[in-house]
Amino acid sequence: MNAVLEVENLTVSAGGEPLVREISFTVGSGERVGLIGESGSGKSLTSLAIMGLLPEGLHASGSVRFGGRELLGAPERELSRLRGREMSMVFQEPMTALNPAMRAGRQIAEVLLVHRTRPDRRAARATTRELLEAVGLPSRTARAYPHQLSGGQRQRVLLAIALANDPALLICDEPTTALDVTVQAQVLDLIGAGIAERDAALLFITHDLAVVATICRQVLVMHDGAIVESGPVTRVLTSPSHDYTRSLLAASDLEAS
Amino acid sequence: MTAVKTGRSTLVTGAVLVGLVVALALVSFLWTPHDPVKVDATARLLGPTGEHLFGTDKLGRDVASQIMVGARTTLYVGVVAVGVAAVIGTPLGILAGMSRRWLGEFVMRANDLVLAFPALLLAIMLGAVFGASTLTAMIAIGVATVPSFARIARSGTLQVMSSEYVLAARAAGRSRPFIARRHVLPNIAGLLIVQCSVSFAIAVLSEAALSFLGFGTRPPTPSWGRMLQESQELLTVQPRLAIVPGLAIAIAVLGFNLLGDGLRDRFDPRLGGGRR
Repeated sequence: MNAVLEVENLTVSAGGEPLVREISFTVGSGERVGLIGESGSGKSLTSLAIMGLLPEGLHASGSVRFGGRELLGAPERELSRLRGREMSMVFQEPMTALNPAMRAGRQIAEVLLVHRTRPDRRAARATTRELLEAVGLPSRTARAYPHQLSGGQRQRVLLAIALANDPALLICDEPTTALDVTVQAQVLDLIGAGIAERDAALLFITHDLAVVATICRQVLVMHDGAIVESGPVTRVLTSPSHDYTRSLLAASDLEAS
Repeated sequence: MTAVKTGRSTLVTGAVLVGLVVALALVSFLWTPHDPVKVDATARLLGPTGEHLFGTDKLGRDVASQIMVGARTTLYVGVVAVGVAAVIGTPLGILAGMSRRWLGEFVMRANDLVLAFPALLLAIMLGAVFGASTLTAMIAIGVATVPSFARIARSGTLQVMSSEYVLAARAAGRSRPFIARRHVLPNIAGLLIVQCSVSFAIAVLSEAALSFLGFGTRPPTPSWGRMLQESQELLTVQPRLAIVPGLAIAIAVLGFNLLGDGLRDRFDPRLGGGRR
């Protein structure tokens, strides 16, 4: 198994103050890694730093290698060639992650055309229909505007966009948090199937331990900008070694009972 | 459902009123009841008759014919002024909203500089330098309107740029020019259309004011604004001379405002314009 994503001593800081501190991990192809932790622990910043999409004013240092290439400090042109093609991302809030003034199908077709993985609009439209079918949506969804779709349907559209170019790495930032439990399970299944089909690497960010247990095999526990524990999901969730992981588990147990 | 209906009737009413003005202007190229600029001392200040539908003015010119030819001036004025303002202001605003902080600041401060300059003063200045004509007056009004377009485009752009779908678009590898064209522009189009219709009204009124001052449309070319100004001295004896061009201006301005609102509703899929 070759490493798709190698993060080494990644630090994200705002004006000298570190928000993510020297975290390191690798994700191999076909591997599913969960990144868990409470809000504000730096999970989303980690994912944005990997994609090179940190907001203005935040600075990343250390090393992020993708397929052997260093991404930190790489020119924007090179990054935008990778984004959406080799690595893609699904965001938390399906209500706002689609352009409200563009039909769903066109938004899927465009990611194919931007990266020229399909020769023309016709081919892109045909692929769009296949992608919609693969995420369990009827092909007429292509004609709908985002406001005409439910949260679950929108998240499926976003997943179709993320998987359109068969990326080697998929980053999901709390993709199911805004969805209700039954839809959550369906979307998780789709993500799992999409990843398996492409033998892609998955970095799955969530604060929901049940979700991590469902989809991931490896897990990283993040607290206050640092990774405090990592290992196979079964071990970390059954016999945690760090206090913070224990308190996370205790908190989720309380929720369940 | 009612929202959709009112949106549609707004659009239709606006289109009919604007269509009326456009039709008057087009017909005036082929036919007018009388020569609009022919002075006839024997037919001064006649009331409405079959011969002169809206009567004649103090020089004996046919008011109806002047209104028809004046419609051309009005449309010309609106299209030039709004065109100049939108074509320059919108890209500037989007640029300011999307670029790095210092460049955006620079554009907006330059914008404030123009904003601080009164539109009419600019028009008078340009008129003095390049000679008074409808075109120079309207380019001046257009330039003076650029800042309001740039401001609106920038604020809309900032809002769109902070949205998650732009982040998602960037995560999908889309370039900045692409995001400007496909994500920002369609999502601020509604704002811009409304701004166009408001600016149109202001341009028509500015043209009237400038024509009065002698820096706009030169006599004898008929202009609704100048007809209104000329009627001033006769307001108490012949109010008809003010009412007719006044109504014409009101209809044109109202028509463009309604059309703007209707188009915005139609362009914005969230407001029910989208068809499935």
